[in-house]
Amino acid sequence: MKKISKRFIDLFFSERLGHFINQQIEKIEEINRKYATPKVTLTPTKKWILLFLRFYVLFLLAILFYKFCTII
Amino acid sequence: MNWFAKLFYHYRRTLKAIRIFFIISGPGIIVMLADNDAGGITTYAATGAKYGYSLIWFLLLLLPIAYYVQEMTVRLGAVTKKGLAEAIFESFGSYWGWFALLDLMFVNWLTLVTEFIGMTSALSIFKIPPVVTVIAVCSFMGIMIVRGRYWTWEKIALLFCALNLVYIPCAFMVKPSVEIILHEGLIPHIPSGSMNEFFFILMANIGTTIAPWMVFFQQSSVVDKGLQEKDIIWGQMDTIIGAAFTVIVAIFIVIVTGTLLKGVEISSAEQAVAMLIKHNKYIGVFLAIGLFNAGLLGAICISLASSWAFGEVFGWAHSLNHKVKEAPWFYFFYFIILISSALVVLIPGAPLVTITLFVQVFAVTLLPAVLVFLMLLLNDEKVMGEYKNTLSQNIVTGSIVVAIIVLATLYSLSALFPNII
Repeated sequence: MKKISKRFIDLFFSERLGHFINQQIEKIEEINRKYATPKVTLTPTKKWILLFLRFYVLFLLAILFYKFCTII
Repeated sequence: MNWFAKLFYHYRRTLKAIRIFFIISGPGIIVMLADNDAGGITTYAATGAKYGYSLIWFLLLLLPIAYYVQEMTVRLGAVTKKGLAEAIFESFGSYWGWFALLDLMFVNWLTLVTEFIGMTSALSIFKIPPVVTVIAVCSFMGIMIVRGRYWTWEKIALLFCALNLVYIPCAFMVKPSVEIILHEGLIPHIPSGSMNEFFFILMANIGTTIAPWMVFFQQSSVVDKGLQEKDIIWGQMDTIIGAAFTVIVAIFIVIVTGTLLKGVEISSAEQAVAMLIKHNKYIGVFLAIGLFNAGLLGAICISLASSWAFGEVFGWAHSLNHKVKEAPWFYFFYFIILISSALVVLIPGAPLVTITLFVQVFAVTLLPAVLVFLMLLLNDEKVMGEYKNTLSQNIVTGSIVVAIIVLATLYSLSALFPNII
């Protein structure tokens, strides 16, 4: 997947820009690796709160998407 | 002699305390007064015009709400020495980290557009074309950030905070009846009229008092300023003074529009300014200057909140104390956000009303998440040590957070679907 995206970038962007974009992708991957495991102690209550938050955010985004489609 | 020595000792001690306060204060006052941005001014003007002085008691209730939420960022910043974006990444992992960061960037960008809308509208009253306003504001903000250090930036921002108090003399100029203000404003009651509209105005006032960018901004600002654990008490004082100023300014705007425009439907601050000019030229001009200043102060803080957050996560040098050469990405990001949002206002026929609508909704997607993360972080002993929330703080902040989440969600839904409530 990583190789495909790299080839795609090399194909469509100039060498310098492609290099820059690849660098940023690597940086993002590095950030994902660095923060892969949450440091806060996740008690069952905290896990439930985060799960609720996840559904809440998805609900709001769905509403927003609906509104966006109806406005257009 | 002993009595005189004691008096002198107390005098020196008080003087020292005041000096320390003036050194440490800044982030709280700036964030709170910047909260009275172009959108905030519109909301307060509409509140006064719609209900007169009837909701002053409610504005007073917003003081502890604003304080308790923002105070948590002071403790978190002083203890962890990290901005909120970095703290969320570190404590909750990259999924929530990216969500918070990207949502913040989007909300901030949209809010910045609304600040430019406010500034260009305010100066258009003086027949200054939007393009001139945009160029002047961008140049000024660029020079302000590139030429100075954190201290210089803070001092200039505080000067604009002082200008935010322009609404106070305006309120005296309209000569309101103090007796009526005290009678109508300080006794909690629900004004007559549509409950839907009343509820919408309440939610709009809460929405302008607590915004996601404020939470990120104050924590990053506390870190950039270098506040330590021992300075928390001063940071708290700074925040409460800022919160008091915010509410005072809001009340005085309500008094102005409540006296002169009571019963008038207001949809924008510039509409209020235009109507006030007809009543009293000087009040209208003062309000226009105040609206421009509010937009500028908001823009100064919001653009920095995004750059700080991205700098923290991407590991760029991200302090105002760094020169452009030392922190190129930080400054590049700052200018990209500033210029791109400014250009939107200049697009002929840009959907500015839709942008304002989406600002409210996106702010709501981020606000509950940010407040929940704040609460969770402030309750983690590993993160906060002895500075974690006490039971009484949890009861107060927990109730505030739940109330804000419910009301902000309803506000967002009613903004998208006006007939839902």
